[in-house]
Amino acid sequence: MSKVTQTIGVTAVELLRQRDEVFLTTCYKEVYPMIESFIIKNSGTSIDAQDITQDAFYLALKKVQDPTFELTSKTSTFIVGIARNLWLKQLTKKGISITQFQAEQEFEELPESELQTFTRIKKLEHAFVKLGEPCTTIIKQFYYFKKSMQEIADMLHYTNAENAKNQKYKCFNRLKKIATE
Amino acid sequence: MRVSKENMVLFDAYLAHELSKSQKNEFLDRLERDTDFKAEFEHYQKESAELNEAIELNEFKNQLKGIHQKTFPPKKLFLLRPNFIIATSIAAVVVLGIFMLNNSNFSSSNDNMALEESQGNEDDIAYTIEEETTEEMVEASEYENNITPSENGSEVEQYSEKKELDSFELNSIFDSAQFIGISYSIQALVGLDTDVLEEVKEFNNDLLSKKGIASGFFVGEGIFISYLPNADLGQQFALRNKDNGLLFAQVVLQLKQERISILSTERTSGTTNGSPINFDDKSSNAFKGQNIYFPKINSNQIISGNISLITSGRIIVNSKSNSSELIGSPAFNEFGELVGFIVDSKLNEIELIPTHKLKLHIENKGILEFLFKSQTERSIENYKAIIWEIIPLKM
Repeated sequence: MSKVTQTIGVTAVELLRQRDEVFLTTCYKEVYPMIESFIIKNSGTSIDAQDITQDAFYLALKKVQDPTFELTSKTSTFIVGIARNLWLKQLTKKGISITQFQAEQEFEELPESELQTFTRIKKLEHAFVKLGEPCTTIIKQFYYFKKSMQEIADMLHYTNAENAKNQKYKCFNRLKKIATE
Repeated sequence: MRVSKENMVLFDAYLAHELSKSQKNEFLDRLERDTDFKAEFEHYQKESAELNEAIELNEFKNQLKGIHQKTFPPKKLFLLRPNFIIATSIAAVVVLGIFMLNNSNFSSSNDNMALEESQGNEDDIAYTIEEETTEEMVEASEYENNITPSENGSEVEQYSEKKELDSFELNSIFDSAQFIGISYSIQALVGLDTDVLEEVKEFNNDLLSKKGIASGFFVGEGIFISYLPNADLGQQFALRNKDNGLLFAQVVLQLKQERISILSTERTSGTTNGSPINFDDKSSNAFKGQNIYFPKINSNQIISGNISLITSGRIIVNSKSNSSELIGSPAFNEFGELVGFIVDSKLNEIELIPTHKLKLHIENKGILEFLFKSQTERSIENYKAIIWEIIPLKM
């Protein structure tokens, strides 16, 4: 029995919540081959498998960040279940017949609203990656690290916070534009 | 819904608890009576929260990508994206050259390196070079055995495919202090994205021409060193990596003989923007464990500089490419580490200078030395290779 399957319940949830590197590595090592095998059997590639695995881990992370959430299965089963569900949705979206889908037993149901939110966040993430500097820094420091505009202005050697605010406004709108393209 | 600039500033101030009591009351009052204002605020709050999640997703994905690479290292060949074919081929040509050097006259040149170093009263450096290159020869030989000629007989292409992920993986970790910047060759810039041009223009600069030149080291907020034969002192450039990261830099020092320019990536005028990448001032740890040294330098602090050759090697490569296009291109060893610049070429011959020492005289800091060599680092963990385009800007 692997470390991941032993590490169930509260401990696993806490480790996932903390994005613990050792835990994530052990978990990834266990679930990725399963997800890859499943996706390749069902019209996908290794690249698809990596994307879906990352998405599944993220959705699992969001789940465990909810204090009311209770993990009732093994962590690996939970993540693989999410991954299968995500891949199924992608196949459906691509118009690949459901009959081609080699159904297996474990799926983690994801509410449509959660998937829609996740789709929006993914678009924003793609836009963020494309944004370029100095916008990436400004946006990240402000919205993620909660730095003040004065701190960002200092970091980027702007003469004052007003310049940084102007730049942030431009960056924010550019990000939205990229996300909607 | 587009939030106005004034309102965004106001919303940010409110959410950051930066409003005074009276301003806060006024804000809350307006929320109650102005439905459009309220809708705008709620929309912005939602967008901000989703943006936060998007960045969290990005961070988490980067962590997982790192885990994936460590846990499941690539074994198969990868198809190159068109933009990188030339750059990777250049690297491959040089790597083949290194193999040839290892197999033929590397031993003798290695002795010469040690001799030159000793004569220069730098025994510690000489020792390092000797020790590391010996080890490297063994590993290079092992790697060479893994090269399988492709169907068209071009080992260069085959090798470049193998090298792609190892050598050109972008380091997306924001706060990493150390990078090696590698620019495209000129022809690899044909596919430059139009959105990049727009981005450049947004910073009030007109793009002069698409031109990527040579190799260089990007050193965070400090300097970017590149082979730039036609640059002028004070000329400004946009530096862009393959993930669209954009920096602005200005030539602050030129080493005419070597045709190398030192660019400062700090903010230099109202029309450029400073580097967003933090790094530590390591002025007290020169050469300690690292062979590339990254001081924090303001452009006006650089008084003078010179670059000197510490070791040299001549590599003859049977390149099918036009060798003149390789001038200034990066040279890699088999570990994907940058080992020098191609500084000269004749037909089918490339002269490689594996190691340079750059001395900069910095105000209040004295002489700082940079040893451009990475053979002693087995891992590129600390020296992530990033391909940079260098775009001249018309101010």
